[in-house]
Amino acid sequence: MSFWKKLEAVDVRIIFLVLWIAVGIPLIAPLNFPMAVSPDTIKYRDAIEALPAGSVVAFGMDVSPAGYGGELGPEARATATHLFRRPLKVIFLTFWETGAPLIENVWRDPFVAAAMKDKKYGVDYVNLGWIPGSETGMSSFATDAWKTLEKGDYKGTKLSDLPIMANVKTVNDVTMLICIETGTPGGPEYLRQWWARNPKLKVLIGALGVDVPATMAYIAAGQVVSMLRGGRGAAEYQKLLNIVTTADIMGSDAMSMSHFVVLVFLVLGNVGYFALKKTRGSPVKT
Amino acid sequence: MALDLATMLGIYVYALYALSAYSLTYRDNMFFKFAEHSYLALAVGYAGAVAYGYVRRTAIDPVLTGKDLTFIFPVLFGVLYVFFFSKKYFYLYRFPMAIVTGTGVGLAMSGTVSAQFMQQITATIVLPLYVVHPVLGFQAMDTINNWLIIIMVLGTLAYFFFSIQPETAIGKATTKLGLVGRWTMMVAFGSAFGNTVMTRMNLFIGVYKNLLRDYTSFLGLTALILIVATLEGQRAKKTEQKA
Repeated sequence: MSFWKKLEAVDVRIIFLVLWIAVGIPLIAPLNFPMAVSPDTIKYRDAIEALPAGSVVAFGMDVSPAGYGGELGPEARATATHLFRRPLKVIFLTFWETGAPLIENVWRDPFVAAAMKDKKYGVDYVNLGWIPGSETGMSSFATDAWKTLEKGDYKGTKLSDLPIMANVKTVNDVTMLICIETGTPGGPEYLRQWWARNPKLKVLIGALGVDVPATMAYIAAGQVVSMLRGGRGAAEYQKLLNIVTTADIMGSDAMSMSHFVVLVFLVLGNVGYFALKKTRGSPVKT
Repeated sequence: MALDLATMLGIYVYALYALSAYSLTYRDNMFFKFAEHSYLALAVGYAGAVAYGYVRRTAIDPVLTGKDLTFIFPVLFGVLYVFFFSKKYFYLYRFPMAIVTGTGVGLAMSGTVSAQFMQQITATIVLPLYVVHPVLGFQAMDTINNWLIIIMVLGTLAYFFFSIQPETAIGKATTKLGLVGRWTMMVAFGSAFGNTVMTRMNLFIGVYKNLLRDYTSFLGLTALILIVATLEGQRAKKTEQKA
């Protein structure tokens, strides 16, 4: 049996094992791979930095626990740290029922907690919790936030008792939207319901890697200012904000290792395919 | 640093579920099924409880306390969903479904035209074919990028253009341009696939990082699951052979 035939017949569990080992090495001892920061991440940082003091920022925590545990958690925590370092008014909200408890989880991050030390709930930031109805809920909030939130904020405090909400009645009163998105509803739905009503709205997206190609079209069209490209984007942003821990370095090293392993298998698989195609011919007509 | 009992217990439960889920990569086994069913039950239970809490606060309580009786109509309409399970009265289920679908489609379409059709088309049409920065001068990369966008958009449109006879000169040209579109779509799908792999890897790394917080739970539970999965696999094989 030739090398390529042996490789073709390899048990898929061997590949999984190689991946476990390759990813595990940097998680035990960081390898400190160099990391360049992409223009998108710089633009994302600069957009927040350029906001005038007192601007209202809507922070859409539209995430599932799975997305949060992987790429979106670091994105959300880094973004919240940056927002709290600046004199801005931050409105946390979510159109995913799983996102509501994760907002407070973001606040418990040491860097976020340090940045929001002097901020006052209800004045500088607020947690509006879960707004049901998916895209319908987004539309409702965009046209009449107060009516949509008659129940009050996450804890039931009436909006009239929250000074931060005094001048926020519709989406026209929001300067920037930051959407940390797992899926639907997410960026495209915000564009349809919020941006379509207020084209001056500056939109930033914290995307899962899988959503990056779709979001690029909106950036090219000028509807979205910039985005964080998955876990890699989050790591770059942390580097820009100087909030990198050893665990983060280990995580980004593990990411690089996993991509390296996948690339090696990809190349091997393709070379093997063409090598075997030569000997036995391809069953696939192209 | 010594961990308290509750934290330790949390780590072990987390590790058990995470490893049970990943044990599918070795083979199907009872741990994976347990994790799969628990996850589904938890997700459905959580979503149900949150939704019920919201409906109770927003609609049921105002009706029961007499504060706002108008909510009685949407609540009753919502109850019609139950007839999904009745063959005889299934048609009643269609009423709330029609309202929800109609509202959703109406809302989505109104925003789609401006946000996803017009803006995207306009942005493509106004792309400059020769990019000059006021300070930096001619921008070669941006110029190439814009040309690529235009060629690829036209190519992809041509690929889905079926109204021209392929034997004619225009038809042949459209088919050739369509090939560019085919390549464009393949590149786009490849990029989407690559990003999907990256996302899955990041999820895996997140779990792996948490698992490594406590080596004993990680190694111990991995060994336990592998042993049980192997024994279960052997038992299933023997049963199959007997049959």
